[in-house]
Amino acid sequence: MTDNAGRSKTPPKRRVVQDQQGIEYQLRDKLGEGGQGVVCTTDRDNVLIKLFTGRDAEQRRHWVNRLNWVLNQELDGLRIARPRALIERPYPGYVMELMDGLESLQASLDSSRAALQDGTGLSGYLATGGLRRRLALLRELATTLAGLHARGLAYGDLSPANVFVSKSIEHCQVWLIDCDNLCATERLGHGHLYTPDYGAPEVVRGERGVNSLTDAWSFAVLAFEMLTHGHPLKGEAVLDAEPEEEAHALRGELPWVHHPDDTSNQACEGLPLELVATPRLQALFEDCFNAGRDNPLARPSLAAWADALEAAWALMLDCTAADCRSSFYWNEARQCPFCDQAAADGLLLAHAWYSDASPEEPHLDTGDRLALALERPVALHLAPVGMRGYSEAPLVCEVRLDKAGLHLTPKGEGELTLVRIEDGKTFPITQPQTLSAKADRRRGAAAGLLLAHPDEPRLRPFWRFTW
Amino acid sequence: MPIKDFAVKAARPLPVIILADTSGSMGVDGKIEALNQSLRDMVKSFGAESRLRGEIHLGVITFGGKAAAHLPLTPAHQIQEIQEFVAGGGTPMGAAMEIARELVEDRELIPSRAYRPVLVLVSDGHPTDDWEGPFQALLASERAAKATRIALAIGNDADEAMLTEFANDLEAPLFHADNAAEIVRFFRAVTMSVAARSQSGGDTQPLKLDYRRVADDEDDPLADFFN
Repeated sequence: MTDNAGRSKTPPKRRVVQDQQGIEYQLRDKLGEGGQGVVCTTDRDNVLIKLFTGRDAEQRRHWVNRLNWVLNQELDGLRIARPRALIERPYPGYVMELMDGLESLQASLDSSRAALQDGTGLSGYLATGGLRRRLALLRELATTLAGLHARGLAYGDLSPANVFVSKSIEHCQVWLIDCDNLCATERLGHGHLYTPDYGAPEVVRGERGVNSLTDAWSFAVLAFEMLTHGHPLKGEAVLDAEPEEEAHALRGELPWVHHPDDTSNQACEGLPLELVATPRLQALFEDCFNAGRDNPLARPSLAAWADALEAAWALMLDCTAADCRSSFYWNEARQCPFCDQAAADGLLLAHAWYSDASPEEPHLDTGDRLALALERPVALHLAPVGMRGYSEAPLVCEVRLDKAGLHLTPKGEGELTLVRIEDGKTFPITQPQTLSAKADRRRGAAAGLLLAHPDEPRLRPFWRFTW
Repeated sequence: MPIKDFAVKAARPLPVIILADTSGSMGVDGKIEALNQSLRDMVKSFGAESRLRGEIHLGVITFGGKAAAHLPLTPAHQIQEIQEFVAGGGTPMGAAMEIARELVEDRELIPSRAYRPVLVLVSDGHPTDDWEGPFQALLASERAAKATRIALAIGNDADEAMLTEFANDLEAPLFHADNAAEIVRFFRAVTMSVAARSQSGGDTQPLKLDYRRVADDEDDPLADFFN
């Protein structure tokens, strides 16, 4: 920095880059900056530029080669801000489009955690959408990664900085940026790129490259962090110890914080896991961080995560206490575990398949459950909740619970039948109907909704509930 | 019923201690103004950094006339404003080293869970007090020995031998600044690499000051942007 005495007198240079077609982009702000790259906003709406700023010629060549390969991959239909054009000068890079109104997940995690740390408790957790939205965002992310894996690709360097989510908590858009790390197979000898805290132990130890199994680890860490604000490997043995202990933990040398037998590194910060994760999600975390710590093949797939997150999301109730408003998992008492107040109302629907073949016991319980919270309409499809295909399956009806009662609205070609279980009596619902919430009408009787649709005549979901 | 609270640990502190020469000679050629600007920018940048993996704490020790703790070690996001430096007096660097040593070794201010500190020494002259004892004591102290130490020599009159001995970053033995703009750029580079370290959640890797981003690369039209 000694060769530029006259520098301050030269006019400021234009921060312009050009793509292959000669289109110019003026750089505005830096959105993020990593080891060898920088992501910038431009003078064009929703257009971002990622530039490779590393100096090493070999690495630069390698990066450009990889980018050309990524450009030829089929990424349509996935929520990934894919490269649209290449930048050649003055740095190699690419143009990507990202819709308006998104922010990095890191920003959202930061504000939520800062609230806990600075003494304003769960206010940050709620301001970023609470448990309900976290489950929805994670489901979206898992679905995108599962789609990528289904195409034989892995994302590579998953971290909150690479995940962009809707700023507004009314929306649950999730987009991945920085797709220049995409790879088809395990990447050996390419620097084992990862983000600290999110790298799989074998990647941190430098033994293996990234692949779909390391994506599965990174996703689970991100999910654990989003839900609990803790880290799965940072417990009592790590958080108060010297930084070296943390390095050991991240290399996979300590038990995870909810290890069933070894409590030497047990959880000591954040929200209790059982408050924010269903037993099914807890089991996925256990598989990933216990057996999956040393054996990548033991880690649950992203498809398994997406299914379990969808199922968990379907169990949300809303706390009605004015100073709480948390979302929480259905429980019989409908009691909010964040403030202990009971929710005003809610209804649990239990999923079964209806089978003519055994008239004595026609309902085959699947174990899937769906909680109806007040004033939150739910669409019932032919496929069960807890499956990623749920929302794409044919729609049959909409159900909505409010203080007046349970409103049933048939949709499209769906056929809806209300069944009284005690005598098997059926009532076809062909137009919107309401089951009254008045005490003499809501008496605790067993009932069910039988769904049918001409597109899939063999699928007959039966939703059992008490009214 | 009140909403329950759940504790989270503060992120590990990453202490950054600036030893700034505020002696009389810093008052010319815009040097002290550049230093003030640099510190303001640094505080602003550090304060905006994510605290998920590390929390930058900043402390400033000045030596101009007398050595003083200008800013006690404070979490960067809590620093409201930083008092401007005023140049004047001699260069009591030894006394500043003594303050720095006490600070670095203070187990309450810097707990054992903290990341290794970063010490930044900036000077344009020679010490005017009895500095060698305190200097060696600092270098020999357990934590300062492990710390990342960076030095910037401003102008031609700086004690380069001493600054070189202070610096322990093998990739960047000693930085030079010939004018006010270069002081600002040096601090930007330090800010960027400290921020990167706080994000990477560790000090297992050397603090890398990216020369290119500090230097003005004539063939790089985006140099401004990256600096």
